[in-house]
Amino acid sequence: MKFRHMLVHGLNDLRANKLRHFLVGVSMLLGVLAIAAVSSADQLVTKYLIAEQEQLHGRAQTFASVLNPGTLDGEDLADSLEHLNTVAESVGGNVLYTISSPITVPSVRGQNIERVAYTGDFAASYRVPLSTGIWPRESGGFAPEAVLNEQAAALLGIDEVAQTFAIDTPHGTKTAIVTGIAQDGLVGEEARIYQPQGSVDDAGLLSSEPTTMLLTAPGDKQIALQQFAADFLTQRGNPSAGSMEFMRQDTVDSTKNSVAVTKAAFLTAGILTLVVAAVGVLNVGLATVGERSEELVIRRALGATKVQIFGLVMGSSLIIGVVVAAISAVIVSVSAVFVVPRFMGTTGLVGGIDLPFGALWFGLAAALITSFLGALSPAIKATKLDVAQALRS
Amino acid sequence: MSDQGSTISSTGAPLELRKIDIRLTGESQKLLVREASGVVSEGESVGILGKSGSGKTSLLSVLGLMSKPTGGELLLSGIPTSGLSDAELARRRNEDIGFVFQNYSLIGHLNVFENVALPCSYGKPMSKKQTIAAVTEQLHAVGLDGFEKRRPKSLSGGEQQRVAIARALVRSPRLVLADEPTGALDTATGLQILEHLASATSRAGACLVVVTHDQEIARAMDQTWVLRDAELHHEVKGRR
Repeated sequence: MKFRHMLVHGLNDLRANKLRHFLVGVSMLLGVLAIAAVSSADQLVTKYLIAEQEQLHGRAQTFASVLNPGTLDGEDLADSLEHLNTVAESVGGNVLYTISSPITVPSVRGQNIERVAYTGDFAASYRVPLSTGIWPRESGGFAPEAVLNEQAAALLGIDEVAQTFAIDTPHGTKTAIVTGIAQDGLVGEEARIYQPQGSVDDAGLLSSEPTTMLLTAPGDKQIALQQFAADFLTQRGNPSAGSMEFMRQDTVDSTKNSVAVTKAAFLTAGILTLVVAAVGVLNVGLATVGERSEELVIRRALGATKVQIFGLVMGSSLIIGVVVAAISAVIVSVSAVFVVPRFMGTTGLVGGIDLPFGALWFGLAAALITSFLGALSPAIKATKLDVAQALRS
Repeated sequence: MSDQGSTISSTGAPLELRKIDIRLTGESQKLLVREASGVVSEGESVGILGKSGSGKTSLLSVLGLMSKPTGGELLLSGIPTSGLSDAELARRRNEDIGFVFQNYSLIGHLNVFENVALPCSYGKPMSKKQTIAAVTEQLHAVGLDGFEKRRPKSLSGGEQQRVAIARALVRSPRLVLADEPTGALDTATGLQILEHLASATSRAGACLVVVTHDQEIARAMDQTWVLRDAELHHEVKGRR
């Protein structure tokens, strides 16, 4: 049977049973959209959960070690860390060295505020989006630069960048300028200020405070980078660096494992939706063949072959499948690009959903497969009708 | 006469039955027709007469290549049909045989033109132009000019049967099989339809086989075959 004939017969068939085919199409469309929605929801949940873990515990493949500065003075350590960072960046990683200490802000004296002084790219090791502004320059400017978390911003009454506040330091009160407000995922009253080490103007911190060194790097580079850091710091005169132990800090892998259960649930829901759609199409197809058996045997009597009858019954379903596939592609694309972002708010933690290509292709394939499978059994049944029934109808 | 490799010699007539047996399928295996033979020559008409349940429809089903006989051989234009595949049988039905069914058997969601053109969708491809010409010619022949867009349910019984006759002849078959063509019509309309059927097949040069329980109709044909007690008896008469 020529494809054109199949198409023509299919269209005639659609025209003859408009409402029924419309309802079949709608049920298939809902099935495909449900799969796309389930996939998108799965994607969002996974993204949110992982992003939240990366926000609090560090990005994937972040290892942490306590570093005792030993005999290294602040400047030596700063130079060493800068060199280490250059090496880490060359393998797609990052070295972040943080010192946490309480500070006093005269305007809210008595309130607990913690300062995290860091070297390296903070955002490369933690997923901490800024609701406004930018991360400070490493070298600092005319005044110490700082990023406040939302609690600190609220405490200090700061709601936009370029505002200033005073900090007590061992060298007297300094004025810091706010370059950004960060969403660091801390809850409650944990007010925190993030400042690059160079902006703190207090090199003494590096050689006196408890320090944490974080290495974030691709999995296959981790061990080599850890070894390089230990060797390098030892060579630079810090014998204790040789015994540094890096412990995995991020929880991305375990989160992914936990999410696998959710994924399985979503997948099951998607498959069930498909099965429901397929059974619906099959049901309608079988009923249609039952109702149309008289027409089909007349066609057989007038010269239609079994293949042509098969094509006739399949034609309308396949046309519906193609139309549903096209419509669902448009709806899913528009939803992913325009609709979903509008409902996601402005947390910035997750940058929206990607166009669910996988789900879309799966949905399109599902529409075609559902229409094919749903029509297959009725089509086979139609070819088995007894032609002689044409004389007995 | 070529018979596709078979050694059977034939008369080359449009329809030839050779000792056709027809049994019911299933447990009973009842013999409906025993060793039925006969020849329908070019342009000839045959009335097959029989009581209800005598096996008329089963015989017509075999003659129309819709089912295969249990025994014997059916030749269509001299070609044995027992070895033909399902697809070849469909092609023969389409190109060599025209059917007129008792209850018209028009397809409700197709209009008159589409119903008449239906056989043109199958078998040897016909161009759109050829199809339009053939359909128009047949509708004109049965007096249904201007009915092309009408749906079957908007037509009277007589008109519907005329559409069925046009459909049966649209591919210029050599044989037209009619199953109780007047069965669903009143007497006057039935006679009119029979006249249409006879003249249309005659004009087309096709032979006509009418299955009926009406003796008057059967005996109006060139030959009358009577199906009685599973035997096919021939009553030869003059040509129509």
